[in-house]
Amino acid sequence: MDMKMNINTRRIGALLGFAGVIFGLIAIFRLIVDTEVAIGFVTISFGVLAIIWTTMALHSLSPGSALRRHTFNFLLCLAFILMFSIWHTLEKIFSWRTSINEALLYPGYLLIALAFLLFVGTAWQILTLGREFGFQGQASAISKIIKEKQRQRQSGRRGGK
Amino acid sequence: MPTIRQKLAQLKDLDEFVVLATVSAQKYQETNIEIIRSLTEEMNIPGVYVTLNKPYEAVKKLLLQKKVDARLIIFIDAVSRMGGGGERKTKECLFIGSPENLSDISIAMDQAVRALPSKEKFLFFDSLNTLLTYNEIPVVVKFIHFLSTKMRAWKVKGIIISLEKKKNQELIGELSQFCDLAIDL
Repeated sequence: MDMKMNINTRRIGALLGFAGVIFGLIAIFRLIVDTEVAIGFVTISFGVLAIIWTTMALHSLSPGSALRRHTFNFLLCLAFILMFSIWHTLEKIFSWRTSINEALLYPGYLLIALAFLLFVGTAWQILTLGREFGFQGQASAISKIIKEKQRQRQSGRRGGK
Repeated sequence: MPTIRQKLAQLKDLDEFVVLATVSAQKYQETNIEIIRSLTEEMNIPGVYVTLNKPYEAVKKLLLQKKVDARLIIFIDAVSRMGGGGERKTKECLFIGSPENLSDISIAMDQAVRALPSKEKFLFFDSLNTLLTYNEIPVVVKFIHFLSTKMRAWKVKGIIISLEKKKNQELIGELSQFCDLAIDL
């Protein structure tokens, strides 16, 4: 009974959350007339949410664990992407490129380039984690041994008869 | 008084279970080997052996000495790398940093159990006491609760080994509520 209520409460929560996101998006696009700036605000809010969830995950993982290290690198990638989004949105709002200098476009490029560089490192890390924590090789060896043992037992039984 | 084999025979008919096995320090080694022999030799079930107590090499040597086939087992060793050993993985074993590293132990167990190519499988966790040496009691309680829930989800024959100690009696009592059975071996 309690579990059913829990599931229902979760469903209602998810539904309300989804409705909140939709209303939030509508509000942003209504309040901000410039579509590019509105999209900038949307990406920033999702970026902040992603960083909050990743930070929470980081705190609950064991210190020194491979997963924690990977989560930390992922957090750095998110941080650089968020910084890029913030820079890009601010640049659009204040029109820095036209009012100050054209070169103010480049810090944004630098941030996104660093984010992708970190993504490459994180992807390499997940590849090594996959190799380390993957057991498919051992599993197929075990499968062969089980079959071999079954065959031996069957032939043993036949021999006994 | 029933022998270890007779006690283990009670579990043979069960498809899946979570057992908290309390073992006396004198019989610890012998009991562990008997359990593994029963699972791999008599029941022909593959499984995962998580060792927080002894290095994988020592466990393997012991099993071989007692003529127990270790080829059906995936080992997860959370001891060897504590001494600074560099190897992270071999064909038979995955080496985790330390028994404190519960996140990596959990992921390794999940991956290993899911990779096993059999409907019937086992997970042998050795031991609760080492876990207690490196982690706070509330963390251990939470981990064992997580482990027992996972063992049910994985549909494995789960055995958690604990050494018989007076100071752990209360904790074992608390932890046995998460398990299907608590046996003294």
